[in-house]
Amino acid sequence: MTGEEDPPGQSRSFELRAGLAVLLLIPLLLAALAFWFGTEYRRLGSSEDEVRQGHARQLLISELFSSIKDAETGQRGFVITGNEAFLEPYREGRRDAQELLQALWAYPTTEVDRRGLERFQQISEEKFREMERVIGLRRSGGLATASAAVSEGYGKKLMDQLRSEAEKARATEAQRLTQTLARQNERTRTTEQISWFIVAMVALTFIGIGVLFWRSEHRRASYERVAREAAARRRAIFDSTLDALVLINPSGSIETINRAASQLFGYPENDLIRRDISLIVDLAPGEGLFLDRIGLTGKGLAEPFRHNLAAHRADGSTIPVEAALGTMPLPDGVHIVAALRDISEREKVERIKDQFLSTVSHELRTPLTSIVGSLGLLRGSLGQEFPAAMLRLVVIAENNANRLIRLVNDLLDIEKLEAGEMSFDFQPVDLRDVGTRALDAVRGMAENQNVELIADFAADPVMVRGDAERLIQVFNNLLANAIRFTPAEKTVCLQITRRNSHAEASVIDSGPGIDAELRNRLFTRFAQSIQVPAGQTRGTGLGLAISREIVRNHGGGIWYTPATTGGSVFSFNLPVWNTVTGQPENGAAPRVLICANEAEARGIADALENRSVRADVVDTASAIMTAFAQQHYVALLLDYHCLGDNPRLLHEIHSDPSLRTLPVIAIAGGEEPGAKLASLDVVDWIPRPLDAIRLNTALASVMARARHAMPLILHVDDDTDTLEITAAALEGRARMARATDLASAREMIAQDRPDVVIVDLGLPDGCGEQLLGELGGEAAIPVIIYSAQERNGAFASEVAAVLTKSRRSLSTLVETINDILARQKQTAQQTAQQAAETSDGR
Amino acid sequence: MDARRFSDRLKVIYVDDEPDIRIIVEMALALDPSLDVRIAPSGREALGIIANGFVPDIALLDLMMPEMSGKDVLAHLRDMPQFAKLPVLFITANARQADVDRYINEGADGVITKPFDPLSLARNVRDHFERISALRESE
Repeated sequence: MTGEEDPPGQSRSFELRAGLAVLLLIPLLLAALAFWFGTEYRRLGSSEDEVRQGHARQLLISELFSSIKDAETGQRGFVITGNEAFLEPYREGRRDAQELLQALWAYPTTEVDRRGLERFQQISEEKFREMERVIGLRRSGGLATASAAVSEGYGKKLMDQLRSEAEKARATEAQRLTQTLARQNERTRTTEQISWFIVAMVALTFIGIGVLFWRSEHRRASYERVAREAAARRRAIFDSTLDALVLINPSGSIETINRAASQLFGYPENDLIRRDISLIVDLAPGEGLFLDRIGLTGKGLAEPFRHNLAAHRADGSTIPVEAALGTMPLPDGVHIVAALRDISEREKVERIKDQFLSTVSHELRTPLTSIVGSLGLLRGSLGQEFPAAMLRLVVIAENNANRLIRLVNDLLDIEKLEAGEMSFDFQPVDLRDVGTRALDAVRGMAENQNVELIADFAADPVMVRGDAERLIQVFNNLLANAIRFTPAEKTVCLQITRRNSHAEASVIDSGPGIDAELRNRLFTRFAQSIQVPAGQTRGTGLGLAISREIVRNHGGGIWYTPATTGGSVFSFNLPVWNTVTGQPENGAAPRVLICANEAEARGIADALENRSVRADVVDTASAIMTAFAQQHYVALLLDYHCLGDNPRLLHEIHSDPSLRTLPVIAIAGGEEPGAKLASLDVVDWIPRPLDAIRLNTALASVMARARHAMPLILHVDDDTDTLEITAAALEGRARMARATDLASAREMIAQDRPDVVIVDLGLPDGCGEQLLGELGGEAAIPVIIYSAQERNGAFASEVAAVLTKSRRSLSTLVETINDILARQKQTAQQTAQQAAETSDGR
Repeated sequence: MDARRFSDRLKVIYVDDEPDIRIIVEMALALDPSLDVRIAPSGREALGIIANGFVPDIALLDLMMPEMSGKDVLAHLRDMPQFAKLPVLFITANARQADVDRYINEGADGVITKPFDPLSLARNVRDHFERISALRESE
């Protein structure tokens, strides 16, 4: 699904990026255009200034020339008339000419203009000097002299030159003006174009934004449609599923339920929304936060399947349900999805089946007992009087009646095994003894078949924790099959040996082997070979299936391999039981960490290996903390010379709450370690040279301490089988105290405060519930009700769990206890840490 | 034990509600002439036989019977001081080791499993009786 969605997702993301890039680029482009527009606009302004200046210069030049002409007119009037009044316009013209020249100089000019202006100024100055000279001559020599001077034509020549210069200047200005105007026109056009470009860009930006908005809206609409369709599909599945589904929010109230839940509990759907889940089924009894009560840990739910819970319906009735819980992490916390299934029908069927099996057991065995008994009597006491052929018929009838009995027994066994209702009497046993007993049991059959039995057993004891009777049943099944399929004068060999942490038993026959087709379903019911050797009775077809279940219940496995000689090898293995530690050795054997020089440490480790205590060896102090981080150790064997490379180690161990109480056995070179190790919990010290007895004593004391450190569980139940089974299931995890009635339970609680109490409801001297009040209080002891009785209504709040004895209830009980113990350990560690911090603070 | 000799006939009372099995047990025990056997179809009749003067040396009780189960008969017998130490064997089809242990805890002295071998039943009962007698003497 995700794979299909990815390519469009990538394309959408590309489009979005491209759109954003365009939207970012457009403002940049607009800014650049605005800058350009500004520059052009400023240039346009300066062109206008130039035009204005050109016009002004042209005007000034015309005015200058006019004022010189005015001055010349005045001078001529004076020359002709000699009237001084005519000199007034001359003087005015001369003054104006000077001012206008200065004004012309004030305009910025090109080199050409400057040279023209200089020439104009020189000529005009020369003209005024000439006019002054003529005026002077008029005054001194009269009209004739002055007229003669004028007639020389110098003045006129100067005036012509001035006219020519003025014309030139005007022409230059006119040309420049034309050019400026042309440029200005060009710039106006450019500015206009830029303006249009900006308008286009802005329009484009708006169009772009519009398109993006439309597309986003379109997508949102299509996503909403897809989401609505998906929600509708899920809702349809949610509503059409047969199991009741309840979605619970992190506070423990119901968020939504499906139709099946509404029907199962008899509430309209909306009536349960926001109501606490305990209204319909108490998934998480006790006090505290819902998610804590329901057993949510970092790894998920400690107990995702709950069997046989009492669910309360709207009409007040109670029905048994089983619940499968799942988690749904959402931003506002982890939600719980509970799938609840009404198991009242199944329970009814179970009861009918149990009743049926019990009837079968009794009603089939009873007539079979009569038949076998009658035939036995016939064969034994009357045999001599019967013809041989008739006797043979009696034997056939007896054999088949016995086979029917075996079949009934096997059927009952497999039903019980598969339902998890078979009880096992687990005891430490030497598998070789069990094997010997099994061989003895089939010896008669082997002799009848003329098959030789060979025992090939390990020389040392092969200890396992098992139910000897049930293991004999496994051996008998395997050996009987092997003998049945082995030809006369051949052998059947039983091998029992130890392989690492497992005991392994193999039955090797000299038969024809097993067809490849049959091998895959060998351990299923009625998986029998069609070819049964002549003269052999068939087995029940259940032996291997029963054997597999028995072996599995012992924590082992069973398998088939073809023998190299052509026969079959049926093998099974079981975890080796450590009689010293009282624990299985498959990884759970207690570990000690040894920090010493390598040779010495290796020697100690080998010695411990014989005791079935696992040892890890390090030779530097810095490796100790690394080892602690990876494994749990029951003790540290420490040569304090190791501390040389890390003197801070003691502090590190002391400041770790889980290591502070770790027992340390110190190895000292002649002198006692003394104050150096004072911050550690040194339980013993062993001087060099190491003495094996001293080492063993120290280790035994550590092991005893480790066992004592185990939590104490009190189990109160009048059924000793239940006590046995529970004790077996919890062995290695806790010390078990057992009581069969309330009085002895009270006595035990008074003597030694248990960490957890498991209590049955129906006890000979009262109801187990009576204990609840006595175990509460400030430091309440967690109580698990473990009873075959169903109890309607709620218990007092201090009950940690209510489990009904049924299929697989033992595993639920063990999980619940593990969960409680883990929480207790965590709380204890936190308390220890807080206490340590408080004392450090002081 | 009292002055009884093994050569004396051993008085056996057997209770079973199944008529066929009663006949087979009767025939099987009759193979040993040293046994003096009384058979009862119910606990009540067995207690009646005892009340009428038959003092058994050993009792064989079927476990699953209507009205009075084998356990009920055992309880009645144990309530009578003269039978407080009477060897009592249960005959049952449900006889796993765990069940046997439970029956012993509940006061039985031994268990014979159904189906049994009729040819060795009498020997089996005698063996039980001798074992239990030895046990009682050592107490």
